[in-house]
Amino acid sequence: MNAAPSMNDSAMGQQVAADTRQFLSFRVGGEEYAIDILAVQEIRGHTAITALPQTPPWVRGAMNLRGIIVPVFDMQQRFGGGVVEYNRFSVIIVVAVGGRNVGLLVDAVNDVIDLAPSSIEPPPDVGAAAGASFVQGLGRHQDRLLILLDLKQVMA
Amino acid sequence: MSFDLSRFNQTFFDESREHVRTLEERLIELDAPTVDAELMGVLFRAAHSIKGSSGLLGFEAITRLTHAMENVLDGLRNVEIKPSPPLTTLLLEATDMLSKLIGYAQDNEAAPDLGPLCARLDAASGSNGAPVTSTPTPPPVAKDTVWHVTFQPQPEMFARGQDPALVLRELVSLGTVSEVQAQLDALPSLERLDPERCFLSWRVRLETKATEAELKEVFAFVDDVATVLLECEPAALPELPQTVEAAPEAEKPPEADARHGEKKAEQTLRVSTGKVDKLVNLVGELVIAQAMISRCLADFEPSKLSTMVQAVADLERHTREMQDQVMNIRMVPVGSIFGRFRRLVRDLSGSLGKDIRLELVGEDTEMDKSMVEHLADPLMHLVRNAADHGLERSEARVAAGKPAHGTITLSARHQGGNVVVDIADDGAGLDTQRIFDKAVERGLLPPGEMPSAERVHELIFAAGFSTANAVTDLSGRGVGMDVVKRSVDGMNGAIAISTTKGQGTRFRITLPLTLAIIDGMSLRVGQSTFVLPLNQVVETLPLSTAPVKSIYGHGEVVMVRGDPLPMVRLARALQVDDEPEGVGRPLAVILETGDVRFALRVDELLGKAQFVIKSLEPNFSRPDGVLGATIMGDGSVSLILDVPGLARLGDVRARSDDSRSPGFSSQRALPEVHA
Repeated sequence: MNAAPSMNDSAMGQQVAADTRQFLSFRVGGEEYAIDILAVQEIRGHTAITALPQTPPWVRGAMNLRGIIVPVFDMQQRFGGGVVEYNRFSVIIVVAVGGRNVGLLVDAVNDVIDLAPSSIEPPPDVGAAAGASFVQGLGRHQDRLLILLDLKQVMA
Repeated sequence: MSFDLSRFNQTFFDESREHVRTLEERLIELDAPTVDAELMGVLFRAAHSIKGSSGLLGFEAITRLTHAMENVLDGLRNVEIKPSPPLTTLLLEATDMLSKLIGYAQDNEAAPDLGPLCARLDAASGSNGAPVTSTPTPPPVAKDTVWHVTFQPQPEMFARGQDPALVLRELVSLGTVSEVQAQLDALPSLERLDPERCFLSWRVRLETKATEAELKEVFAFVDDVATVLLECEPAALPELPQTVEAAPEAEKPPEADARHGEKKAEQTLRVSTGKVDKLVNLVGELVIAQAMISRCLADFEPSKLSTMVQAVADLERHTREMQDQVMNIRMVPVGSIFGRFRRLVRDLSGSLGKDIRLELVGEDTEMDKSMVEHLADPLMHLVRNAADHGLERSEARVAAGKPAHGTITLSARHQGGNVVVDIADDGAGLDTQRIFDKAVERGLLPPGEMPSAERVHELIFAAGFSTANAVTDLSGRGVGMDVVKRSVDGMNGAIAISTTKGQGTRFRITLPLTLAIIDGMSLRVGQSTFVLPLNQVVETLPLSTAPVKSIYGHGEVVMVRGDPLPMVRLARALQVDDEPEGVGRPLAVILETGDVRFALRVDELLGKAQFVIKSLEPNFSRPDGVLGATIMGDGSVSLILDVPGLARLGDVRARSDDSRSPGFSSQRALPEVHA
């Protein structure tokens, strides 16, 4: 089932500034992350995933996206954490970066938010902590703090 | 308004390649004792077509070369020139150059110097009696062309014994001169003037029927001591007046090249209109069937079930037909590569000094375009090998009571869902003893008793294996057969040898019809479903009838009719999580790839079917042991297993001669044993 995120909600409220970017926020292991909405191709519910041999642990397998075989990444493991439980409430965000399609297995998709450049901060210097290279910046939205992901690094 | 011709370039390249192929294939027939008019017509038309289009599109080098070729072919057609093997060779050489020129034009590179080749062609057409008057301008350019000729001799011209006046006079004789300008810029003052040096240059406006080549001929002798610039005045081209005025000839080529350079190397497929029409019809039927189902579902009630079932059945039938038709579009006759071997064999005949004939059978057999292209290299190797190693010299053949000329037969035919390609020669056959000796020498076989002939023959596919006494520039370096084997394996095909001493050798390549769909066997291991290519499955047997034995340091073997076969467990080979192997009755699937044979332990066989191969790339790099993925009826993804890859992963090596020991590689295991 495709639950396409509605973009109207955010556009209705305030006047969207020209350089404001839209992000899709989602939850993995209690943290809230966000990715550039332009990279998102679609959001899928539970889909059969087939394990792929000789792949890193964070590659959960491959899924069928209308005839294209797309690898699925377990985001929690990608960030060095435990395993995302995969059940019928699981959500896969299909993203396209650099001509490649990848499915990101996350706990839940939240909403689409607008972030002005002023509300984006550079990533904190946490040294070589696991997953630090994935962080593009931190986004502040009302009282929420979002971790903005660099998808190129995530997919590398 | 400029009319952009460069968009026709791709079509021109495609068509020209086709014509070049025709030339290449049919020119060889000129060697036959009698030349029929039909052949000459075909050859002449091929050259003429390329010439016409290249002229229009501004590929001057191609025009020039095809013009020269056309003259020779015209001479042959009018029986003014007699065909001879050297002439055929010259024309083939020109065809090669033509093929290169098309490549250069496509890649936007400068053409090489055509002078010597054209001169030889001109000599062939001229000296053999073709009237010079028959060579000039092609019919469409009947009107006078206006040329601006800039002739700038170097100062040393007089010292070389050349007279500019003579050159100018000859130029004038070609047509009507409306204007001559002498350029005096370089002329020094009188006291500095060296009378033995030439400081003048000329610009001549000439109306003539002569072609560019003919104009250039005027300057042929002063080529190295003068700069000559020929410019065609655009307005003189009668067909496209406005066009060319807007884009003068001198500027056009770079502009056009830049444009076509962006979209080069686009692969195209020429398909007959009939095939496309059929497809369009089928799509129409599909749409109708789909509409029927939609309408049926809109207000569905149980009484409509039979209509629904009928509609779905229709949809299924149309889908299958459509699949066939789409595959059909990719099908091209295998003859498109067979043809080039005529040329190869002719060249080989010459360079090896053997009299070799090539027979082609079943050139109309169709197969997938990409397969045909992949097949070209292996066939090339096999034909070369047949010519170099397979066929004996004429003296030896006559001594053996065979005809003096050797014959290589290339044949193709459909057999079930496969294409079978045979490469046979009537030569000496494989020398089993020599291969055996060589194999022992290289440590591939233990010395002593010789195993079965088939086993020995298969060794020629081992990497680096060669029994040739002398390394020639063609073959004998020991590379080749293993490459052949690998390319055939890569196409999910198989290669077999049969040979009779003194009578010849035949290589038989069996290939699936297409790379996109394979016949496979689906099976279950643990919770996962996998697909095996059917052509590599030898047999399956229940493990209850075949005992499994563990050998320390060597893994497991399964005893098949008393012979041990290494057994591979999928979970271990692919390094996926050790899924619980299901209860029930496990089976051993015996797989064979090349000279490796092993068993794969599976929990259940699900059935045979055709599977569409989906590439994992570019989204993911292909894991070893996996050929690709496929989508099952329920929409889930299953992996198609790569049998050679599995053999590597399971550490199974080629069966050695000693069939008593299982074929596990011992490099890894043995040190542990000794430690």
